[in-house]
Amino acid sequence: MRGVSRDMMDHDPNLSRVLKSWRHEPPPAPRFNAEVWARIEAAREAPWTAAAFIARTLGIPAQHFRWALPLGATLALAFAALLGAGAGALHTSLTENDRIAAAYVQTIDPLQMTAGHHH
Amino acid sequence: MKRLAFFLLLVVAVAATAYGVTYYLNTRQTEDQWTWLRREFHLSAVQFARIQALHAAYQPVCASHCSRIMAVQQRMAGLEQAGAKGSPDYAAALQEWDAVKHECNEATLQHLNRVAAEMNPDEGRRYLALMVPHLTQFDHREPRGVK
Repeated sequence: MRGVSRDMMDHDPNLSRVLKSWRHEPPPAPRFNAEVWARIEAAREAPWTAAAFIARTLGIPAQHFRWALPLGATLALAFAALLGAGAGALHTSLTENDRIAAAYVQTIDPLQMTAGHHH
Repeated sequence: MKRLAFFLLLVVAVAATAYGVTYYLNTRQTEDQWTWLRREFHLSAVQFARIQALHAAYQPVCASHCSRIMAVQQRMAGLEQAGAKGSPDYAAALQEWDAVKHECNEATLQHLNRVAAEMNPDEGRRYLALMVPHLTQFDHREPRGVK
């Protein structure tokens, strides 16, 4: 193949001249780097992740998606804290009433007041 | 996937910590029984004063029952130590013990009913439902006092 090309150049002086004078000048692309990085970022946050799917379903634009995930996580944690605190308060209220009631009855029930002595 | 699992663990840990802290802080607050009674059953000043008076009137009755219980218990303990568990005296003491227990239960239940009667009807029912199961030797098959 190389031999064929060399033969063609050797035998066609016009072609040889055209090839020597040919220059490729691509159009100017000032945002080339930025566009490459944007595509890398887009690929990194590919829509196969569940979070990206949710963001897309909710209609959150791609440029805000970076913030949507931590915001969602924060809200989920805050909700978990509220839920835990609520359950704790409810449990306390239920058990405390029973505990104080038991202590109250102990003060008026002679059998419990003397329970330590016998039987 | 690993990050999601870690996050879910974090959510569970946060909820558990919030539960534990709330429970601990709430149980640390010790409330006087009278303050609790007044707050829990929404007692007016008049109702509260009447209930306190009932309680004061019940104290000598309660003390008398305590004395009788202790006397019977001491008698039984003495007979047990003397090896007279099969004696007629021990049988009589046992019979007296049953009678005293019954009498004490009745008196306590009557007191609870009197206190409940001073409250608003719904609160009174709630009071009895909360207190009666804590009575010693109470026969739970028969919800006495709870109307």
